[in-house]
Amino acid sequence: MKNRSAIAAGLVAVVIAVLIVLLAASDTQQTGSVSYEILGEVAPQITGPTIDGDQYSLLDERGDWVVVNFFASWCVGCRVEHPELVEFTERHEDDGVQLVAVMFGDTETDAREFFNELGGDWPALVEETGRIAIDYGVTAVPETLLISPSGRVVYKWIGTRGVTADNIDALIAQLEGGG
Amino acid sequence: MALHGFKAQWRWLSWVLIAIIGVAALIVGAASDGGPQSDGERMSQLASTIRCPQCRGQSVAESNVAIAREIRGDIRVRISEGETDDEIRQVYIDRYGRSIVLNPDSGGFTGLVWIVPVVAAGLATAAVALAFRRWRVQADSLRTATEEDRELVAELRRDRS
Repeated sequence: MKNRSAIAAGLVAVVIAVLIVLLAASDTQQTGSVSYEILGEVAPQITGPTIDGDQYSLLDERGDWVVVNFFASWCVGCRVEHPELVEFTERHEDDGVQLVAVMFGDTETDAREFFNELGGDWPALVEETGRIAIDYGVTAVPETLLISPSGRVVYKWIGTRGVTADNIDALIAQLEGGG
Repeated sequence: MALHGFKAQWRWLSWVLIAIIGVAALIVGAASDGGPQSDGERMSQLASTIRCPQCRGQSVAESNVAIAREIRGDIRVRISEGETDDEIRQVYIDRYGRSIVLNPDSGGFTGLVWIVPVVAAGLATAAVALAFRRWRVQADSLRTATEEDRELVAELRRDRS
């Protein structure tokens, strides 16, 4: 009788132990998680009309460094970092470094108004399906990515932190130098 | 005696029948996909299994933040483009990692989340059945007089007479 009780208690203990291990091993990251799955991958295609009515394709930029900025007119962080992006494009008017913006959760009219108000003459894609943002694993705006001349995603900035003309230039210089 | 045997057989048969019906119901329930769904139903069902990347414990079906709205719209488009549920889920896993899916994986180590409760329930049922059986054997043994009981009764009767 004592043996049976011991076996039953042992079984219960094993089940509880397995459940504890499962809970401990489970992914508890449930909030505000940031995805870096895209890093090192071939940059997903970015193609479509811009707010100026032109057609844009990332393929045309192959061989250049490309900074991809996901933005929205309602996004405070996007307004904060915008002057830095303006500064960045003024530094790189003709030297193989490009900037493209992709609209996220916004309307074409509001996005156009955003650029009219804050300046900037880089292509800004009208993206109403969210497909490009999802392809790049965007969680919230602003998010900014750097694509190498070979077409791979090499860096990702979440939010406004670190998104300055100086920082982006320093990173490109570092990567060009192989460091 | 024959009646007792018939009753015992019938009792066993009823248990076997219950077990068969239970297993059959589980198999049918697990295998059935509820029939063909409309695109809207598929979208809602898929959205409820994808975690909102920006939220705390909410699916994209429940949340109204921008990325949740974008993903819901993207699911709708992918369904209309003919992608299967698994293909659509895989897109988000590739872009946001496995934690984007709210349902635990049914394979590998995580699969134990599904298996352990079933095994635990089976063990508990078996333990209860064994306990009932033991109590019944003990009760039966109490109903049957032993040789010692008979001798004791005979002795008491002799004393009284």
